[in-house]
Amino acid sequence: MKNPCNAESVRNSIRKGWRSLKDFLYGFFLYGMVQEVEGRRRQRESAFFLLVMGDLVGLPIFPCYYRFRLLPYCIAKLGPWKRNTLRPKDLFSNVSD
Amino acid sequence: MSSVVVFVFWAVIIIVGYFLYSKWVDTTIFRSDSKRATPAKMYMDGVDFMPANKNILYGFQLNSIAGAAPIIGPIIALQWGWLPAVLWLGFGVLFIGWVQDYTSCMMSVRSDGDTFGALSYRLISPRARLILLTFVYFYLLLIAAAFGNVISKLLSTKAVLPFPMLVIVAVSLLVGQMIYRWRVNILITTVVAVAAIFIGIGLGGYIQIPGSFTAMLIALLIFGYFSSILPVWRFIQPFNYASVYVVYGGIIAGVVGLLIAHKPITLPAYTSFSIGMGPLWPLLFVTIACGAISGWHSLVSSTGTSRQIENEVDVRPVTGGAMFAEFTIAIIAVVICATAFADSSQYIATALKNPAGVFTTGLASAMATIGIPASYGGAYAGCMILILAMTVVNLVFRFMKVATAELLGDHIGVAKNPHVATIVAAVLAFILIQTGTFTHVWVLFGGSNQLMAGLALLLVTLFLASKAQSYTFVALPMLFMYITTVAALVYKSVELLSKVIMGTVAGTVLIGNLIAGLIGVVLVICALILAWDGYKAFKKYTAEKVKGAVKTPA
Repeated sequence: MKNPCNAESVRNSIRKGWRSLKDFLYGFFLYGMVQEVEGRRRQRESAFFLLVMGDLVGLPIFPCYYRFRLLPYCIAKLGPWKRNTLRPKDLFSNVSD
Repeated sequence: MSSVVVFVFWAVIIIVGYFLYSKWVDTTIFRSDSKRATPAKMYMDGVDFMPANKNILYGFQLNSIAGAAPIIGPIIALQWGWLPAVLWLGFGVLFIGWVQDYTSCMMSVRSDGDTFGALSYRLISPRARLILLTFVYFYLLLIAAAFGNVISKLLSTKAVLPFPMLVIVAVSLLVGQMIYRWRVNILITTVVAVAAIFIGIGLGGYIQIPGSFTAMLIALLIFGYFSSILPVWRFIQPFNYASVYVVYGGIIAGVVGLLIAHKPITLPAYTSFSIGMGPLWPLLFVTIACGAISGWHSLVSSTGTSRQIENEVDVRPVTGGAMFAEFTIAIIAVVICATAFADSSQYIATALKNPAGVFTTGLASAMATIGIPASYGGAYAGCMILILAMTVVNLVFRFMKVATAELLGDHIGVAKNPHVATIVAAVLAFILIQTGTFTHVWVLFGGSNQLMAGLALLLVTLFLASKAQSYTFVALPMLFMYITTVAALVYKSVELLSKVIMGTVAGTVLIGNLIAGLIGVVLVICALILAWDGYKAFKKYTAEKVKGAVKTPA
């Protein structure tokens, strides 16, 4: 009689293998493009944050009214944005672009 | 001699290298810890720092590192015989190649995702960063010249290739528009693109576009200019995406053809220690870069990949695994070429004139065994090499633009202008290609690439020494790479410059020899300064260890 545990584990292994293959193909073909789109989104977002909340990273910008209205929507992204803006960048940072 | 022997050697290297040695380094020296937070998790910003699944990253890493070099380098090196090439590929990747990729990534992961610029500033000396930048600029120039030469030569000698390449460029622009502007389903876009490219390759035989070497070179540089200036999504990325199917379709067809045909290797195992190009040591070790070890990989591993590693234990399969996959591509290229010719004289006649032509002949012959007509197979293989080389050239011009701005931007304002920086890079590449001899430029490119690897290993050695960890497994490959590549660069520079001084060359060859020779000298000087600064830093770290610094995990 066939052992159900073995059949199940084989099915799981196949499923896992298939998922790994799909991930590999996604990484090989598409991941770079997805990153590019994300990068463009981030650039625009960063420009917007600089205009509205530039004083948080040391730009001499007078805090405007809308800044406080927008704050609750932006608060989660402010930390990563500040870190990214203030992180020193050089030639080597662009290799993977 | 059957090619099966080579594949057995390949399997042994993979088993010993990946499943035993790399695992040992990972668990006993770096002691990768799945509970330790990686920069991707700590500084997640959704773009640069973004944790990704190891399988996705593996695909991404392989796509980023595998170019034309694992194919062209071994083809040229077959002049010493196939055995030295295969042995260097195998032992190079086993003891040095994967070590560099893995440790560069791990060092960056353990240093908050810092790049080589920041790490060299911190670990070696403040001036190290500037010297590294200067080094990288000339390294990029040599890459542009080496691959630009391959592309122009292939386009000018095979009139069936320019039309398919024009089709691929047009398809790339269309793919960019479809994906990013019209938001067409990726599957439909892919089917349209791949079908158009395959038809374009077929039509190349009917629509032949002859052109001189210079005309093709100028066309390539214009192409490089636009790829540097246009947004990545508009051209470079769609080009890489659409053409990758051609490349891997060709590799798969070649492997299947080899398995079916089961041809014997016709080239000699070993020819001579010293050939027309120069002596086996040090030149073989710089002629074959990618596939055995390549400095480029360390740059990719220490920036893009290190900032996306979700879990430290993923570093080994992602970086080491991709390196062994590239080694596999190089071995396939060697076998395809070593089995394609009736005898070595045929191979040497083709290799000296046009190394890419060796591969096109080899792949076409392998594809013919699975029923693909030789004319189509030849055009397909030519496109494949062109695509691989153009992918590199696209990226290099873009990178040189940034390098020019970073090196000169503070002193010469106009250097920050992207158009000016790209044109300067294109003009320099044009002069080097037009006046330089391909094999000299290729050796200098290989030397600078391998020296970049040596510098990466130097950084890792210092990083491990600063943490009072065992560094011998990195330091020995570093010393080997440093000595070998500096020797190769000195050999080539002396050879080139002595011809200029002795007056045995004239005209454009003289200019080419002078420029290439001087670039070699600049690279050697940069390497020696970095080595001296690195030695001083090493003494400092080992002195601290003697004083009783606490041993911390690397």
